[in-house]
Amino acid sequence: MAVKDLKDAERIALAELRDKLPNVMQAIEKEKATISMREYKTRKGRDVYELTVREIVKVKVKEKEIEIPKITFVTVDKKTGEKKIAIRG
Amino acid sequence: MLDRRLKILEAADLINMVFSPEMLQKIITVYGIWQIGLIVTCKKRLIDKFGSDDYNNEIRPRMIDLAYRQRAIILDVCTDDFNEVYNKIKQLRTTLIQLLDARVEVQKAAMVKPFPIIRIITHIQIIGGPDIVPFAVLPNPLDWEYPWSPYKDTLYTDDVYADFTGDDVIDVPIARIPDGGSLDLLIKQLEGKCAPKSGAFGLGNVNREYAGPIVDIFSDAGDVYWSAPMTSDDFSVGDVDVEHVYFILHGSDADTSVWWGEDSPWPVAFTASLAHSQGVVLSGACYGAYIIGKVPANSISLRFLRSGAKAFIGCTGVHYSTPFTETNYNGPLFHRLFFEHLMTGKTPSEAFFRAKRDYAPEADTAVEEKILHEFVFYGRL
Repeated sequence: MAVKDLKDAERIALAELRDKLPNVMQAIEKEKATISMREYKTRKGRDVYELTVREIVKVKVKEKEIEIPKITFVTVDKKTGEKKIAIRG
Repeated sequence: MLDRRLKILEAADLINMVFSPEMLQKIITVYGIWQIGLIVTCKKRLIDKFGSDDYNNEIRPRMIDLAYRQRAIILDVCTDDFNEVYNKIKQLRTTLIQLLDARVEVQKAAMVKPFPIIRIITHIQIIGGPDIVPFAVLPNPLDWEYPWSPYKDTLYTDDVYADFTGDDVIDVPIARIPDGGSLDLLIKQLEGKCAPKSGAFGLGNVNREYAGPIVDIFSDAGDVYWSAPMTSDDFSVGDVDVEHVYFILHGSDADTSVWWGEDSPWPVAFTASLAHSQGVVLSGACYGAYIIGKVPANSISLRFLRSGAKAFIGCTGVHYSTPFTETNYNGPLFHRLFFEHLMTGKTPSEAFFRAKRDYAPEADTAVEEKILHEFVFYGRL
């Protein structure tokens, strides 16, 4: 199903996260994670929208604290509405 | 026969690594073929780093031996500009093609079946870390993410050097033996005398279920551990000294001596002190193959290579997975393709080459485009 616009794509992507990765959705709702949207043409020439979710995770190594950005992408095909999730690590 | 050939090689200045069309002609005469491999290094930088005694007595003889075994010539190029390295390789390839053109009539008369020109250089073996021969740098298709962010993710790759047609896909196998400032590492990898024990080891982030199906490709016993609950305290050095080793954990460029699993907080799942294997290691950890300014003491990948790992395959930057069992996109697709090729009996470098070639037409999103290039192969071809 064709996606109308960026706002529509965001709604679809967030619903996908709520369904497949509820912990990521919780982090957004608790404002631990931030989101942004963009659109671009893929390597094969498809037009897609993409939701990015960023959350900083802190880990300790030998008394040293390291910040690791935990990133999740949800790509939504403009024409078909097909969704693809990518997560860091 | 071998001595005679080596004498000719010496006369052809291979040992002094002087590049000229005349030298090429001599080399081709010695090897008796028109298709040759290419070793890329910088003699001056190796001498500066290891000293002339170690270079002349330890490194150079092994490099010459490797060149002979790989039917390769050595390209000596000292620069920090990857474009210059690429141009030298291109120039050498052009010279080879010109030499070949001059012999076309002879070839026709001898009824020799022409080989594809694309593989006039059969493979590229880089010797030295990025301070000896730089990585190429490609635009990160996820760069839009970073201007606001302190977390830079430069897309370092060796692919550029082996892409002769400019179609974004490597045309011949390419591998790098990094040095990590360790003569032991360099010697071990140049000699390549590894005899891995049979067996398999897999260690996955508990939220990367696809690690199970990947390990199933090379292990009937399903030798996969999960973190959490497992931590580095649960493993000993001998556990990973097996034929096939696979990791999908978290990693960071801020500390490449540790990989993490997932829990709250993230547990330390694997450390450099455990990295001892003569097998083939593939890691999907972020920055698993990031070695800029690193040494074996603070890098899991370099520690594996110093211990004599047959090959280490990993990412120079942030890696992206799927959170499910599917292995048909993102990082897991590349992992699967590599192990599937490896299990058909291909050498690790050939399996890596085939995996890249097979992954390229599937790589579509910005994430996949990045994954295509950020995987690098460390070890001998």
